[in-house]
Amino acid sequence: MASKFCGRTRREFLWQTGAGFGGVALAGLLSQDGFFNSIANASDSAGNSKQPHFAPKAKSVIFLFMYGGPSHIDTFDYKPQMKGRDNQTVQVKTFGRGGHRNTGRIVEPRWDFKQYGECGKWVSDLFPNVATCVDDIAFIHSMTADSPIHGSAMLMMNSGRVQSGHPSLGSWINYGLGSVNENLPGYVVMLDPTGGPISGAKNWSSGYMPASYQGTTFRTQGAPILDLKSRDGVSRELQRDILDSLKAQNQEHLAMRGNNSELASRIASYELAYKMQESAPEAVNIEEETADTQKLYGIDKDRTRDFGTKCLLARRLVERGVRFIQVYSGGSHNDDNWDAHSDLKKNHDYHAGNTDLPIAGLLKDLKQRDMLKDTLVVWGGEFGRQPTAEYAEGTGRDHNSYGFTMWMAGGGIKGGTSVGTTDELGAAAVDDPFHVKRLHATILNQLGIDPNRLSYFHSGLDQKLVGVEHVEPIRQIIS
Amino acid sequence: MKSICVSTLAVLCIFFAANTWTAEQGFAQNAKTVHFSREIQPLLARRCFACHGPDKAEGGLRLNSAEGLSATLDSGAQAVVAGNPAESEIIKRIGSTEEGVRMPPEGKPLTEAEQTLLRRWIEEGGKFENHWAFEPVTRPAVPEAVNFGPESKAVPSANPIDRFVDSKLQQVSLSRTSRAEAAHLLRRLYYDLIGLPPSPQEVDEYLKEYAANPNAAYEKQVDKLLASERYGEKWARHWLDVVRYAETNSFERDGRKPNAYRYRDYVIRSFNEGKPYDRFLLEQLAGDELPQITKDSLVATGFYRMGIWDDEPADRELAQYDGYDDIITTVGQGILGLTMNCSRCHDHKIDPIPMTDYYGMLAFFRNITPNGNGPHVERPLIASEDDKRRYEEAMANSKEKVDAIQAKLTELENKIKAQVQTTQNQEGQTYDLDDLEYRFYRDDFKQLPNFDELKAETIAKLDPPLLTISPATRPDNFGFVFVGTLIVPEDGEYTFVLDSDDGSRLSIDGKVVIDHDGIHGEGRAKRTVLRLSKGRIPLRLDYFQGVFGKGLTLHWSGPGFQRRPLTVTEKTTSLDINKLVEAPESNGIDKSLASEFRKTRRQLEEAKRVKPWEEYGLCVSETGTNAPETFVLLRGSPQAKGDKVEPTFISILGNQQPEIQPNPERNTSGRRLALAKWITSPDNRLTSRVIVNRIWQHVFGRGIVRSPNNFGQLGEMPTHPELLDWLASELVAQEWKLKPITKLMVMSETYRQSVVPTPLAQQKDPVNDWFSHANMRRLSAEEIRDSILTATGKINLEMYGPSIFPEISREVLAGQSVPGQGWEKSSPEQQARRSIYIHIKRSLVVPMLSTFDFPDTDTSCEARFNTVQPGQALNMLNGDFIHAQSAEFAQRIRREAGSDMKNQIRLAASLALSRTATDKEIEHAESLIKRLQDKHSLKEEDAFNTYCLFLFNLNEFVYLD
Repeated sequence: MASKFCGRTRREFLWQTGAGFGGVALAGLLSQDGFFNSIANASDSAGNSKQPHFAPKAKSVIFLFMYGGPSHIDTFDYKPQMKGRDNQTVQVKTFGRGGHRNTGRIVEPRWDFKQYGECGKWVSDLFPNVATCVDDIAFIHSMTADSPIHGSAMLMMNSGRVQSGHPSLGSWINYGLGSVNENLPGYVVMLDPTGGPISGAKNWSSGYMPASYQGTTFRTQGAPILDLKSRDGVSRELQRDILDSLKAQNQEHLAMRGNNSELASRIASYELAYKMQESAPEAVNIEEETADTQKLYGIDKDRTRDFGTKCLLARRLVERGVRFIQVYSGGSHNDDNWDAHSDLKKNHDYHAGNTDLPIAGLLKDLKQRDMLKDTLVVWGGEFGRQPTAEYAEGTGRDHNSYGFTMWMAGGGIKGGTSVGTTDELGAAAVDDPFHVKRLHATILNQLGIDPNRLSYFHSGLDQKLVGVEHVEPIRQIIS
Repeated sequence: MKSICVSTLAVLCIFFAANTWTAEQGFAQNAKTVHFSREIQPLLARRCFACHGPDKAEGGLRLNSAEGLSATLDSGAQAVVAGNPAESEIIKRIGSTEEGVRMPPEGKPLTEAEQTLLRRWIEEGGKFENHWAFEPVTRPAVPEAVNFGPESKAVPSANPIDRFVDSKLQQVSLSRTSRAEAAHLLRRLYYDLIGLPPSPQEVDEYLKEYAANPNAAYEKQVDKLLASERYGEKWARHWLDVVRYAETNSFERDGRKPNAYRYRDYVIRSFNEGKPYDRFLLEQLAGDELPQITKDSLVATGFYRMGIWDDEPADRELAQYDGYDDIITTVGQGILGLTMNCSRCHDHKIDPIPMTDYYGMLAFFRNITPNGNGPHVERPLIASEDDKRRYEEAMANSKEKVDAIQAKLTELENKIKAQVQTTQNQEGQTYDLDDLEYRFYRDDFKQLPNFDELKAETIAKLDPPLLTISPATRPDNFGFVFVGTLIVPEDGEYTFVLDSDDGSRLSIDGKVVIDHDGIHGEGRAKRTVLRLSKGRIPLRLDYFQGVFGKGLTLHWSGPGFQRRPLTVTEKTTSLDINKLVEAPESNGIDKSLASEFRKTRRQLEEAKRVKPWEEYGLCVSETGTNAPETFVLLRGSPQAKGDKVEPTFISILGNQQPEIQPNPERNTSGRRLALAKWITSPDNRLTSRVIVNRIWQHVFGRGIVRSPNNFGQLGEMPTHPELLDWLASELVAQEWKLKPITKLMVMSETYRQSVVPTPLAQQKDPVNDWFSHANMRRLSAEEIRDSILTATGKINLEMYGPSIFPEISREVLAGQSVPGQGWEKSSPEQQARRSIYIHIKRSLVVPMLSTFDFPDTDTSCEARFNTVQPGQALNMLNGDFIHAQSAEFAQRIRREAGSDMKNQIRLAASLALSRTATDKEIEHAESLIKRLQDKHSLKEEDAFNTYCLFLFNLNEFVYLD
């Protein structure tokens, strides 16, 4: 195995560029067997797509983030034993925002389950459309995380740590693979109309990596990216004229300074910005899509228009080489997201109703375009919910990080499978518990990145998304 | 030179040939002999230590010490035979192709180059050397001045810095290049020292003086800038990067830390005052334990409070150790240049820092109260007897004022009650408690926690003011804190009786008077008798409920009354006056009485809100002279306690023992002062080296050690080790004053060189290891913003005080879970203040700053990234700020330069670029402005605005020659 040490040597490479982006591509050299292209290859300027460790199954990831924590036992983790036990008091260990408890009052799942597909997967009535795609989906029923509190749990799902200051998954992927389309961000985040998730931008932060790796928030209306649009009255020709004048004066300035490479790259960055002004609006122009396609995503319906549009944009961004796209269902606080503390039925009916059709549309569209095979779709929240009631009254469930469900589809994932189990109430993972790190390792693995080798030197350590210990991808769901 | 380019958006990176240099090449130029600590030690550590290192000595071999290298092995062989590779077992084994013989047994064999390196090292004597940074600082002799010969344009120099640099240059057959042009150098000096450009007048004056006497004119500028208050504003930011300065705690709520800005002001003031660095550190590490405390020394301890903290951690004990780790990481990397944080879970794998050093360091901080909200982090700044007297007076006055308003309110209440009773025939009631608030917590408590460190789920008033646990939202596993005022009717003895299921604790006037903690049922009430004076005194009751039965009762009796309940009883009737006065007429209350009541109630709230003392600081605190025990935590887990440790200094840096004197007067353990004294001792091997390296870094563009936070074996080797030691010893000789050392640096010819390398230097030393020319640098995020504001003339140089809030666009705020939360509106004048005064909210960094590489706020930043990416171009072409400022700039030009276009262009260029525009440039500018009007149909005004925008986008504007 590669070095067990948490530090490596030949740090010179990293530091000669002031711990700058040099650390990124150069990190490959630290690995004895040459992870990235050699620096000589990297020097041919704009060649920015990097070689993965091994042949990738997936090129891009679409992470459908059900912020707030959807209840697994009401969606995909079928618990027939709970039938008829509503309001029973049971001994069960739980830990949520209300602290630790040892007993609780059962809230029976509020939706009926039916079997779907060739695999016969049980899915609740919350997701009748997604249910028709189960033969393409691998369900992981035994997810665990380190925290049942939104703030730290969000950081955990997004960056592998409960503490802020670490790069998020999308940053790691772009760091590891680079971009294939320099005119678009490699890491796009689309937020819920009610607002961002708790801790806001910390969830798509690049942490100790350069800000260049942080997620770019895309809007579905107006200019998709901040400052992308020229000011009113500034035509494309005018912008070009200004840029040409700038270039002329900058080049004169450069010529007198020994052709300094940094000055040259700044000149190039203005050209890139100019191209981006063209590419990004084109990428989000869903008018180019047929009415049938739009309908597939539910864009013709009020309930599903917003999330459907984002799912469709996600597909269009994947087509244009964007590596990592995160779409949030739910934002802000309380029932604006999946955080069903008081009325489970109302909350989940609402959020599932907004997303079921678009998600199914996305999976079907990817499949019909033969894109599903190399697009990895991930669904889930930062944790699940408890089998028992949070309060003396009502159906609200508190958070649960002891066991919950996430699913993946496409990108080399074995459809129609289910791995891991929770106990008969769904309170905790029992068989094959999979920590969030395993999920991250699986995502990286499908992209052709060895999760145990992708590292970034910071604070005296070779930092990894999955931490210092060796972490295996979830092999059972990989085809 | 760190010229690396990344695209924010596309993560495009552009590499240039200049960056393909490797350190090996660079060092090979002058290092013929193999360097143990940078070439051999890391190799051994990486490939051999797992079995033959600090942890294990398989076969009797340890490669991490001199003795170990030459010891006789279990097999009888010797690993390293000095001068004789062929006899050395290590060489035999690494070269073997035989399975089971070849070392290392796992992974790939050592490469040919690595094997050669080891052979050469043994040929050269196979000596083990300690890492340079762990050896005492020396005072190397200053080399002779170098004459680069008649060909060279270099100005001869007697400056010791130049002599060190020149002698290296000579060794590698390079020479200094020529001096920078006078105007270029002036602009560079301004930015490096004060972060702002010189005005056109300042440039003109300087050039005149320079023509007469270049050296005197230059030195005059250096002295002027170092004496300027702008200097502290520029240099404080360098320190704030290192100490992870931010004003919020991150995580869910990312709430504001009170008074964090005072720490920022303290740092600015310290730089401006020329405070010696040892004093600067003493204040930050132990300002509250110094013999003489000052307001500044208290505020300085905010150093400990700058990190992130989770107010709702999943694992509370771990979170506490995360807090210690944040401090150790910052002290370790920021002050000592050591990545001590690597030893939290296991012995450092490369540097000789065992876990016991980490926990020995932690022990110095063990008694610090955790982060949180409340009086333990926010304390009144009281530095003298006089302050103390005034503080007590102010507190008394405030109390008197509140009492008076409260008395009036009570009187009004009684009147209202009388009226209500008459009309509604209800029974009125007076209460012994007032202004009662509860905080509700949910968790499974086994005993009373320190509720102040936890996040309350609900905070609300209790009306009527009686203690009650009825607001609990569930039957078990919860806690309450009640805080209110007890109204004592007259001087005398009072008896309190407290009963609860489960634990409770009563505090009166800040002191615990009944402790009834633990899991138990009701029926074993506890009582206490107290002498109290007439008046209003603070009361607090903490309570928790585990499972099953619950309850809380508190009674008191005193002169003239028996057993009056302070908790809700069944007989309690509620008369909500606050509600009744909202509709006075229908409740039979005089309208004027109702309105007076409401007014008085507002006055009371206001009087309570106003803090009686003018200054509070975000400070460290301890809760006594005895610190809790410290244990090594195996694998970093608080659940796996290992050996007990005492406060110990880092073992590799000498064997001094801490002398700790607990400080009862200050209520501290005295541990931090002992640590601070060791750190600031002139003998400390790292403190002085680390800080002179940082100054060098900010003057010359990169440190002599390129990894300023890591002087350990994974860090960079210094390019000029003798110079670094000389500077470190010089700093101590100069009584740790930073300005003289900075002056020495900027006075050097090395600093005053042109940024243009000679062709030879470009070829031989493309990353400028040897300082044969100056490093060009881009302005920092703050400098760009401040320069734009300076050009427009709008900059507001007001210093200090609470932070400002530049406008952030709606689309960016939309990323927050509550858009706009925690971001205030500042007036345009306030928004035009220098960037160092911008509020730093961890989850919402101002986009313009973040785009231009403002550091991550959560950990110490040793050197900012230097990216070039299209997001910056978009920001500078299309952003709101740049457009508003370009229009301001144009207005100023029209106002000051009159209507002549050439004059306008001339003035604009001189304000933006600190130089006179050439005729050709003026011509180009004119034709651009004309084209914008003719071809693109812009109005004249808009065309000129666009030209102003154009100026801000020039490379020349954002790069320093």
